[in-house]
Amino acid sequence: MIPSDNKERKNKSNSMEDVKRRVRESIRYNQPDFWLLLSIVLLLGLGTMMVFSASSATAYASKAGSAYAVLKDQLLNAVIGVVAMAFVSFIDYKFLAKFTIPFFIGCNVLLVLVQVMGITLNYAKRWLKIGITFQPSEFYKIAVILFLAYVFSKPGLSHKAVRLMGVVIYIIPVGVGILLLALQPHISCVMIIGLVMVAMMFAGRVKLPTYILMAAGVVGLAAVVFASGMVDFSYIGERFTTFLDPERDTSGDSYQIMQSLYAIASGGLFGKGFGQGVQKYLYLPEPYNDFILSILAEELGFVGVALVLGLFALFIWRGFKIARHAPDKFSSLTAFGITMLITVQVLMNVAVVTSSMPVTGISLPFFSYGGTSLVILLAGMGILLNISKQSHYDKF
Amino acid sequence: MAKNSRNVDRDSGNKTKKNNVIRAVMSYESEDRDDKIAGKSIAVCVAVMALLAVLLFRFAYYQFIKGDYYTKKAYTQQNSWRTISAKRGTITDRNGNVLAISVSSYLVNVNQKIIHDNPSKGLTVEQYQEKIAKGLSQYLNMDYNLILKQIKTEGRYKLIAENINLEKGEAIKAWLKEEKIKGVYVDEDTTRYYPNGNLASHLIGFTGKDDQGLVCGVEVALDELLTGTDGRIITAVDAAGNELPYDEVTRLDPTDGYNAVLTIDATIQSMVEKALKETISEFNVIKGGAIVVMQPDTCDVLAMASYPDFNLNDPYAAPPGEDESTWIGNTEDNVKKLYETVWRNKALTDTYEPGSTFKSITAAMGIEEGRINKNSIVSDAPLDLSGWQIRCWRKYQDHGSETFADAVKNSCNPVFSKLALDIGIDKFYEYIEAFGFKSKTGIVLSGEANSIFHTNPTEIDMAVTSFGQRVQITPIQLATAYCSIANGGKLMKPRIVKEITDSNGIVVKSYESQVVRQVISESTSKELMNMLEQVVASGTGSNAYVSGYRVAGKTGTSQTTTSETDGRYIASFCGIAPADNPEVVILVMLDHPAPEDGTSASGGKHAAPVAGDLIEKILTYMEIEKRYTELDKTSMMVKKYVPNVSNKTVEKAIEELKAQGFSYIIADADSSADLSKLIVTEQIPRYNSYVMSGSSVVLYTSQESTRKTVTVPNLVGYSLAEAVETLNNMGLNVHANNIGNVVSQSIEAGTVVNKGSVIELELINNDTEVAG
Repeated sequence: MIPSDNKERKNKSNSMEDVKRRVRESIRYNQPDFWLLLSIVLLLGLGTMMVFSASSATAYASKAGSAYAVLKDQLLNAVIGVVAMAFVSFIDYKFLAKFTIPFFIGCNVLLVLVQVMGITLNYAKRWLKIGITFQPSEFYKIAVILFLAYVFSKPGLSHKAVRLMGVVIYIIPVGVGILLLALQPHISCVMIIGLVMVAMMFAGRVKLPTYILMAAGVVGLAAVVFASGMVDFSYIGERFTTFLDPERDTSGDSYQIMQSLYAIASGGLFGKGFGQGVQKYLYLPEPYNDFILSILAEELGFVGVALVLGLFALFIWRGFKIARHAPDKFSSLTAFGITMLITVQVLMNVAVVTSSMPVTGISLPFFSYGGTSLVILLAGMGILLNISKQSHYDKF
Repeated sequence: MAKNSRNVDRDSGNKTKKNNVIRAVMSYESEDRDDKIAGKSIAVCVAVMALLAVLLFRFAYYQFIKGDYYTKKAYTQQNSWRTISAKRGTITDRNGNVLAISVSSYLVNVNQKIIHDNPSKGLTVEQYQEKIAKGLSQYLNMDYNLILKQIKTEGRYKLIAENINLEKGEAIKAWLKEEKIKGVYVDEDTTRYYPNGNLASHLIGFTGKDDQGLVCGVEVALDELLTGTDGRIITAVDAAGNELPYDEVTRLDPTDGYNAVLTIDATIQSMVEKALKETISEFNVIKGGAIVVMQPDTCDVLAMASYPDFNLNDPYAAPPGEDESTWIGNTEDNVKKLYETVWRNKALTDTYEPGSTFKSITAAMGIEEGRINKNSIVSDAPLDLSGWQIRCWRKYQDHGSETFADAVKNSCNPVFSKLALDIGIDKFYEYIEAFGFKSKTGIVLSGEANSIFHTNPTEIDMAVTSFGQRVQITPIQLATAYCSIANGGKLMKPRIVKEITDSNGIVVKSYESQVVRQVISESTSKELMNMLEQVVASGTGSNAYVSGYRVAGKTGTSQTTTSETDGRYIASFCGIAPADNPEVVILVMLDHPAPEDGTSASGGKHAAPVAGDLIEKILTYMEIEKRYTELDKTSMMVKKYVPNVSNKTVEKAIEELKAQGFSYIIADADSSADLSKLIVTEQIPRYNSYVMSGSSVVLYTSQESTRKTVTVPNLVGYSLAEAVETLNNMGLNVHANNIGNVVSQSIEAGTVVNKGSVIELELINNDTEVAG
């Protein structure tokens, strides 16, 4: 694809070749990126299958409800999500850009509402029930991406101004949301947003002093929060020790990660076959959630894992390609941000299940069972698709 | 770049389309560098791909490099298994007679968790548990409450019963299937069975709960070889212990254990045990006893009996003298008691003072060292040493001057002490060691004890050791040493296990006879054998005399004087037969005989007769030809008149017959009958019949009894010995006119006669030489 790009840049003359190419490109215009769409469809399909396999075991063991209960829910969300994706892909991103600020503010309001009237599950207050139960943080991720893309591409805001006033313009606003997330606590979400933000700053050509300033702010803030004792962070230390030596206490702290490794190792090259895994039978907690890839590794083996990581690589590559060829800076940064959002979550999830980093609750996009989050994720994909539709490059 | 004009560039705001196009074209380069993110995104993309590759390698690391390690761990937690016991190897005697065998059986166990989680429809958990407990208690004939309690415990495995026979097991299986009960398992198992009960109990030993050899015997010594490898039934379970919905149940078949072939002969062993038991009851031997029979050429143990013994199928039963009603069996106290009594192999685990039987050893040293020979004149005068006086047992009338052979025959203590002093302390103890007395024999049986000798022996220590006092050895050590005397001087390692075979009967390990060292020369061995033969022929061991076999041996009577067992006598006899070509060595050790008639314990009186008896039986069984000496033959010619025992009580009759040298057969009364009440109604041969000494008289206690009859064989051409043996075995008596060969018989061959009848034989003696 790169050679064709080069051609595009070089050939500014009105040769016949050029005309033909433009005709070809005009046909492609308004078409979404084929490979991106393919990777999304395959990942979603494989993910839904794995949710079925992993959840049926839990349903069997608990002897409550049908083995299809979780699958039904996931299928419904997937269908809604796909519809949402298609719908969003037809909305011009420029139209969405107009609502960036209200959307961002709205999400912050939701985060405040979580603190006020949120639902607490597993010692974390993350959920909000307004008709449906959902995690506002999922919306907030998209909101931050749009907000940063908006800020970095704002006309009238020169690069210099953004650089100098960055702290006021976007770091503090995003910082407020991050602080609210930290209070839930939802550390994994903070990490994801933080990493995506830094990546977008990097792509938005923010210079070194700002990062230093931001890092100092984060450290300072963390110190204040830590000192205030508002949130119990002691578990972070425990997770580090279990990460460094998972076999130290296989029945206690490292139980989950050891079970994940057992699942992965039992898979071997080709796996035990779809549905034939054993680790999902109450051994591995949340087999259809954060650790769904371990179950996949057990049932489909190294080959299955390679396929999944390959599909994600395809997705990420196409995502970055869209960002590169996006019509303008806003869309470019938005595409980059959404791709980074998926990338960060995939890398962290895979790192956790392979014991390559301490355990944090990060789900695997398109795979983990997650209700509304899947819908929001797919809606985000719609934005990406819309940008690709409005771009000129070889989409097949 | 006309197409670019369609992109609304925010920087260009509301300017015209044309301006946009121009601007876009103009700013293409700068836009590409500054406003778009091409370069940065490629850098990030490359970094992300690299990270993905690394993470894929993490999977490869766990799936391939650490794969086996974690898979094993996963397997261990994901499967619960029940063991299928391997069949323990069979133990047989040298002729293939089974001594211990494992038979298939079942055991019943439960998975309480599964029972708890899967009650049948319409039943509460409690009702379901009760139903199972009730069913099992009926089938197993066990206490209902006990089973219910087991089922209600927490956990996933509980053994309910084992050693269940196949029929019962199948019945339970059928019931479980019919009632669709989950969580109760009837699994294959093996049960150890000892077909002969008490036979060779100490040698064989027994297995415990987990089929592990326990306590004593080859079951312990060969445990690893006999055990085999257990199999498994593996079921996948979830983390809560429930079976998974896969049908696959993996079955790993067990590997059977190896079989052991022992050197013992079950027939000889049973003869020996019977004789030991009878002797012990006859002479009221308080602390039990032991008999060891060995083959001197190979040092094979043919029999090893220890009394009291136990039933291998019920090893925890109350030993004699314990109250059975309060006996539990497997408590610590009870087991300790069992170890001290019935489980103890006195031939191996107990040490004792060998007494005069040890003189053979001292004599062997003297001859080997050239200090003495059978014709040396020695003095039986008392020996004064370090303030002690060593005197002959015939204290006030010692044997004076005599040949050394006579001193052995008369068992004169001072003679041996003097000989030991002559040999010297260093040399003396070197021989003790060479004869194997200072170390365990190394027999493949567990629990062998070692001897106790003085640590820094003085002359007086040695002087008493020379006749077997104040030292402690094990019976197996003495029997082994006697084997070396019998086989020409080779000390060998006693052998109890001949070979190990696999389930197809192929020998996988063979235990060869091992010569440890040559202790004495063959000539020394021969000379000593001659002297020991005289001990039996006309000395202290005369009660071990067997007509037809030449027996060598030495008696021993010792008083144990260690503080805790003060005043305990041990009567022993160690014999070798036939003396000219030794086939067996037999050691009889009786621990504290206290005969009711008040006679004091004596090796000659109490141990020698049973040894003689056994030698005759064993050699006959081994088909060793009897060779009658002139003396034997003459005694065969001694004739006696049968006394009249009719109308007397059987008890009285037996007494009278015994006193006159007759043996007896009670034809029609069972062994439980009270012999003092029964009256002899008829005797065959009749009163005043003139028959050979030693003939047997058949007694009838009822006129109505059918007479026991036999058919007379043809004896013409037989030697006297053969004829006597043949007829005696049939229960007939002999009246011979000569020695030599039979030329005619008084009752024709083929005639049916009553048992006990006398056959008169006419013989002609063609031999010019008399065998001897």
